[in-house]
Amino acid sequence: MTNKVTIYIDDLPYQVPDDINLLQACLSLNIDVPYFCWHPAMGSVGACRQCAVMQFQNEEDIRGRLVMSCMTPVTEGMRISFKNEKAHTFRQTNIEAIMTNHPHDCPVCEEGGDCHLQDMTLLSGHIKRRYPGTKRTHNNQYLGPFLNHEMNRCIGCYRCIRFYRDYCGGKDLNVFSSKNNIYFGRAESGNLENEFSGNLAEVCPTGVFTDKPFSKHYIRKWDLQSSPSICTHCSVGCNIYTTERGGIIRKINNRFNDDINGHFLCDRGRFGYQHINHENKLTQVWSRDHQSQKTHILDDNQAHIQLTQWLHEPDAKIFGIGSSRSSIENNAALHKLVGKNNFYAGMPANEINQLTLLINTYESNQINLLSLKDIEQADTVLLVGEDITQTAPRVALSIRQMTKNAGINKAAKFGIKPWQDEALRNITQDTKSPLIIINTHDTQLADVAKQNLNLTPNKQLELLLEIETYLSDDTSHCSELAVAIASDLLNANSPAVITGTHSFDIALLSACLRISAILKILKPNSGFYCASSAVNTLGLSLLCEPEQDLNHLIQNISSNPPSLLIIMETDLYRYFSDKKISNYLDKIKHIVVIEQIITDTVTMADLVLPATSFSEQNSTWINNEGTAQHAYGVMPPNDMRQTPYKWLAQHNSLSDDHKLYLYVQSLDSLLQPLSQFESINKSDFPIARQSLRSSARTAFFANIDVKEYAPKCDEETNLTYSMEGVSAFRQKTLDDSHHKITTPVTGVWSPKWNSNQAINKTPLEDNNNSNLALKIFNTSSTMPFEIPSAGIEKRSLSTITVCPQHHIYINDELASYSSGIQELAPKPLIYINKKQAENLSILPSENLTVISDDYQFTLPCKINNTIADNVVLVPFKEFIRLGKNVQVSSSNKVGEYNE
Amino acid sequence: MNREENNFPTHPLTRFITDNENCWQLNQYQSLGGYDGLKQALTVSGPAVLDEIKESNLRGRGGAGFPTGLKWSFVPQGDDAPHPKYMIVNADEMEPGAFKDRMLLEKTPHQIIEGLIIGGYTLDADIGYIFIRGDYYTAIKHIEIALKECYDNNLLGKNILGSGFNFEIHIHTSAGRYICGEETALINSLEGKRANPRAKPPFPQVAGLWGKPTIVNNVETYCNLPHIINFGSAWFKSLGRFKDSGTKIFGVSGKVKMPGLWELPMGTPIGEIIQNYAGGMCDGYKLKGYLPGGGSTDFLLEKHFDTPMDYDEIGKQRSRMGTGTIIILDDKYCPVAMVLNLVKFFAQESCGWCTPCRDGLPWAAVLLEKIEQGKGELADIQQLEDLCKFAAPGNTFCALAPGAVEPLQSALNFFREDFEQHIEQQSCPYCDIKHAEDKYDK
Amino acid sequence: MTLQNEIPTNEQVELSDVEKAQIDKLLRETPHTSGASIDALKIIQNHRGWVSDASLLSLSVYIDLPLSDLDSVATFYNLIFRQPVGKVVLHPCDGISCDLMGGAKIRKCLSDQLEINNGQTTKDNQFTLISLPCLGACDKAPVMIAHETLFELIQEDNLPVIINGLKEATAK
Repeated sequence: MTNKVTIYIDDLPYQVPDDINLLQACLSLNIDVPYFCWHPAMGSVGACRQCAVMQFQNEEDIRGRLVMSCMTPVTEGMRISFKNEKAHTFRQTNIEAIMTNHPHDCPVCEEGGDCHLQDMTLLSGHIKRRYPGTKRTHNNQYLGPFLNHEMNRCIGCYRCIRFYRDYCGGKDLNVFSSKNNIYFGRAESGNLENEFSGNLAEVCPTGVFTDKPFSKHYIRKWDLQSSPSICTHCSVGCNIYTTERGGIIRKINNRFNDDINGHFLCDRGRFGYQHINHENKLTQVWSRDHQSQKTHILDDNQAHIQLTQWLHEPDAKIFGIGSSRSSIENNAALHKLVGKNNFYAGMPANEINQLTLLINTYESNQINLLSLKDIEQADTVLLVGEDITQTAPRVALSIRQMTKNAGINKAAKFGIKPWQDEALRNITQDTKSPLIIINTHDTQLADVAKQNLNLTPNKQLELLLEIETYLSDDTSHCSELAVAIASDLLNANSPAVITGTHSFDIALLSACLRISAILKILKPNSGFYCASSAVNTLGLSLLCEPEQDLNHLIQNISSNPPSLLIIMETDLYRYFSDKKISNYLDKIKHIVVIEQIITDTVTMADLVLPATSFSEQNSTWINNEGTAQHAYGVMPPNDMRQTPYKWLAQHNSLSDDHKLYLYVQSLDSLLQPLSQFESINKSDFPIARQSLRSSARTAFFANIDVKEYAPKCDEETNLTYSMEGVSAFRQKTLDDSHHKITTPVTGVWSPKWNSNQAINKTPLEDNNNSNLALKIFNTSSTMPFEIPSAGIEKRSLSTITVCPQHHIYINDELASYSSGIQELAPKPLIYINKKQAENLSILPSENLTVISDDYQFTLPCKINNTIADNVVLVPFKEFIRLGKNVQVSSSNKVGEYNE
Repeated sequence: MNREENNFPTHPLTRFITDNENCWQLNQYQSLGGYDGLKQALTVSGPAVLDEIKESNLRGRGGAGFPTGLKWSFVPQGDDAPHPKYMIVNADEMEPGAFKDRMLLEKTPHQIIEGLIIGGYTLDADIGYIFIRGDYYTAIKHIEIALKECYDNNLLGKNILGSGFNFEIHIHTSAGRYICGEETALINSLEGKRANPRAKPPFPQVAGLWGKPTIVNNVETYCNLPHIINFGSAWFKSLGRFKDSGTKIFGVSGKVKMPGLWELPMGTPIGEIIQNYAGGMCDGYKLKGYLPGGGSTDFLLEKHFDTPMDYDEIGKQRSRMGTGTIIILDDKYCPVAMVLNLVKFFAQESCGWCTPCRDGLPWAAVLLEKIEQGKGELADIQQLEDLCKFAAPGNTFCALAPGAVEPLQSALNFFREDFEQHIEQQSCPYCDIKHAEDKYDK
Repeated sequence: MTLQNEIPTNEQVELSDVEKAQIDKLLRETPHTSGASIDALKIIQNHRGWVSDASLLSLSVYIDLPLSDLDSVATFYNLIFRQPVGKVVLHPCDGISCDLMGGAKIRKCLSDQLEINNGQTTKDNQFTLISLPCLGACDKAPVMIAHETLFELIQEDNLPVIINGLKEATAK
């Protein structure tokens, strides 16, 4: 809780927190001070000069002094004026100067209508252009599939490189030349390398960097229909706004969530939505007639009749496969239909085991679960066995911010506040909070890590066990390295252990959990975070019994095949080799697949029920730290699509939402609070998904019919598919009125602020009063649980270990349908270091073959000398299909090892 | 006031410049009393030296005139102070009309080095840099040789002259850009970055080069130090004819009979410099106005001739002493063209960080070009005045833009008729042959 | 105009041993590699006359600094040439003190004599003309710097002598 000070703005007193800058204070008080270079996440540098206000020494001082509000800390009793004429004239001239080189592109510029420059120009009062000269122009660059580049529009606020380089650690974007010829781009055209480049479209206050996939189906902001949702392309659960028009999803925008994603999304989340518009999406019910080898399209009735028939066959044995990329509601519906003994998670055994371990530990309250905000505020991080920069990139961005904390503390001694961005960097120089990474190879966080320890999984485990030993006060048998790491953790105030399930090594996970448990006793502020594989992995795991995983499913199918297998949003061919799966599936009489898009599993179905994408359904997802978040669809389901739980509603007697949520609650005590999401759907008044200026209502179907069609009705929620209802901006008033209303906000807007910067016009205490999220693990209840210790003796010694390599543009199934993501996805290769290559007698780009009991593949290899000795990195998609007894061989030599 | 007492010099800075072409070398320098100041300083403590400097009221000679002793007092001292501490000589002289540092750099490199070592000793600094513009080839050569002479003679390196004080000096040549002369931009340049100025706080004395305590002072400022220590602050104060202490290198360029440099007491009236030392205007030319301190100071007129070259006194006349090198505007040269040249210079030298400088100065240049080309309108004068207010001190990130508009605002004040005549006539009354070679819109 | 799909030049040139030795010395003396950027660029330029894309890339690889960092710094400083220059770069002063003494006329004569404008190079690649503001010799205006020499009190008549002298001095 920070202290407050009283400041006087145009002779009126206001109370504001004492640790913010004057600009932030004014904005939070609804005073429209214009600005460009300040950003709430990046602090102040004082470059653009737009935020000038007049400061007075005391009441007698009538002359005053112009100050930049973003660079000025608030102090008790300070007197400033926003309305002062000199200050107003200055701001007006300042933006006039900025606009001297700005092209009159608004009508053809993507940013128009969503443009911070437009808003600030109007707010500053500049309407008449006096500059008689010509405008400087630039050539543009090709920057990859995600961003357009139009440098003529640049106003020189420097935000792009401050974000890209200082915030995200990117190296290839920079500023070139000088004076009024400055140029922001790469040394040469080419793909932007950093995984957060897409945020440039939102960070740039004008149209220099704009969303390129959006340009291909562009619609003005005021014509977009928008809904608050959750990104479904990894397990972090970043908050987004999905926008739509004409049945096509147009763009994903960031939705501010202080605890999770803050102001930024990764590129996978931002651009991975194209599967919704994909030509292969399923919109019809298909029925396969094996005799005639034909596919028929069924209508709704026929589909249900078929399903009923198979469900109620004599001796029917029904299995269901739930999905980690489908909502809690969908999984619960399937669970009810098939019963808990027949419900399988669409995850391999290894993963379910890891998740079970995690959930048991979380419930036992032995560790603190961290949010991403908590991670940013930690002061030491141990990152183990997970290339989180690729599996859950937004977490990596938070870890990167964490490393700046030691510098922030150092600067505080000089009286420099955390938001004084440039001063901070000049004082901080190399000072960093420790980040220790234990992995198989260097990650994208290597540049800010105190140590990058690249080891085989066995050695990683050895090291972790030593650290655990040291922390338990037993200093025997500890290597210097372990002691050093443990000391870093002990010296910290809030150390964090971060890992993930993507190494598929439960022993490593155990070790991490045990270390975290010990740390919690020693350091109450310590914490833990584990990244899992998909948006609802944790949620799905809560519904599963032990041994209800895909590996056991395959065994059970083999010994005692079911008559009906209902596969929901899972592609079995991702987990097993083609041959293996096809053999098993052939044993089953009826296969029903509920899916969004054509996958290999869909081609094996007898009946295909088209499922809605996340944009067409209301859904609840549980992320890595156990926050259940509710998402709203933005458009009615396309064509014949239905939300999976609706497909099943007729058959599992959960005929309405109320029954559905009752059932969800019954599945696990942790899910009790989820009933809250049922009630928020029915609220006092409608909320509009469209802005008041949304146009072309009457013209939309003009080619079909003269009359304007009634907007579709949203049966389940109080959000409307029209502009009728409460508009998208904060309802809270300044003076704590009794009628405090918190609504799901469907977009970012504030009077006179049409761009996403309107997010800064909210009172500071408002924070994140969203009732769309709740934590399911609470500290009040504790279920005792002993975290198993991972004995290293159980692991066999080997010469080579095959490990999975992850990539942001490969890992997620649905995101991979986006064209930009496909373009950037690397070719599948096997990576080894030089020594390993020599051991295998192989040259770079020659082939390596990896063989296991169930599966084998051959790929060319490439050298990466940061990889630990005796580690062979293979693409994750291949790795996951490998069974036991893995061997690596080149055409020249057979190396051996095992899983 | 008898300034000759005890054989104390009246012209401490230039007494080392003799007709001998090797006067800049160590043996010559020492024969005239060089390094006596350093030897004296090493016999007392650093804080004692700092007190003497404060007492002397020495003000920075780079243009801002900030009291040197006060500036240095912010550097953290004592055993807990961060190290290494840096002392930097700002030898990046590039202000239009300024040429005083070149003489000191070429002809008295040891004087500068001695001052730098004294400065280092005072503040317990470890490393010195001489940041010199790359075009001063002769000076660079001389300094490199001078540094070697120092290292060879135990004047630099470890245990200087047996005092236990260690100090090393590196020379760094710039790659162009006027903004490098701004102290925090200079620091960024030394760090191998773009020379954008830094926000203050933190001040360089506390966190400068590589985040460590750093002092940046002008060449001439350092040159005064050996003499203040050697002959005392009382002597130094006695040299000035008005309030400010010591002597200064003043210069005059333009259509005067004898353009050049002279070491004169602080407080010498401007008129005396122009008429007595520079010999007054060339035959056939009359004085129209002058920039008393170089290209970023406000115009003054003949009526200001009595104003002493004293920081505060010139300030009262609404101009600045700046570098002390006077640029003469004669009556045959177009004032609009002069101001255009200066504004174009500053627009071109803008680092590109803040709006008023980056976008406001080119705007002013376009307007001035328009007027000079005979296409001006009366509204253009109003716009120019607005732009001068726009780039006022405090409005910008550093002092480049406020300096840039000083000649302009004073020209609009004193030579308004010229501007109006350009507009009424729709041509430049001064121009016949000459036209600007570099058009603004390249 | 957008340059579509430009393939970045991975062309590198080999840095000479002398260059490497000089750069190594810089790296020893600076607390951070980035501190050597500007001086390293000057070394490259001293040896090659200008800094090409290829030599920039080689430098980037050799001192292990991102290419964009080096280019960002190189394009900021006007005396680092990122385009080829002639054997001699002529820097006549275009500052106010020189202009007051007829500098503009001198520059025009120079331009006419060499038949190039400011920023251009003669056809025989002998001279590049880049005017610079204030060379710090205002009492000897108009002045010019070329080939590390300061030419003072230049008059129209002695321009051809200066040009020829420079041609001879740099003839190899």
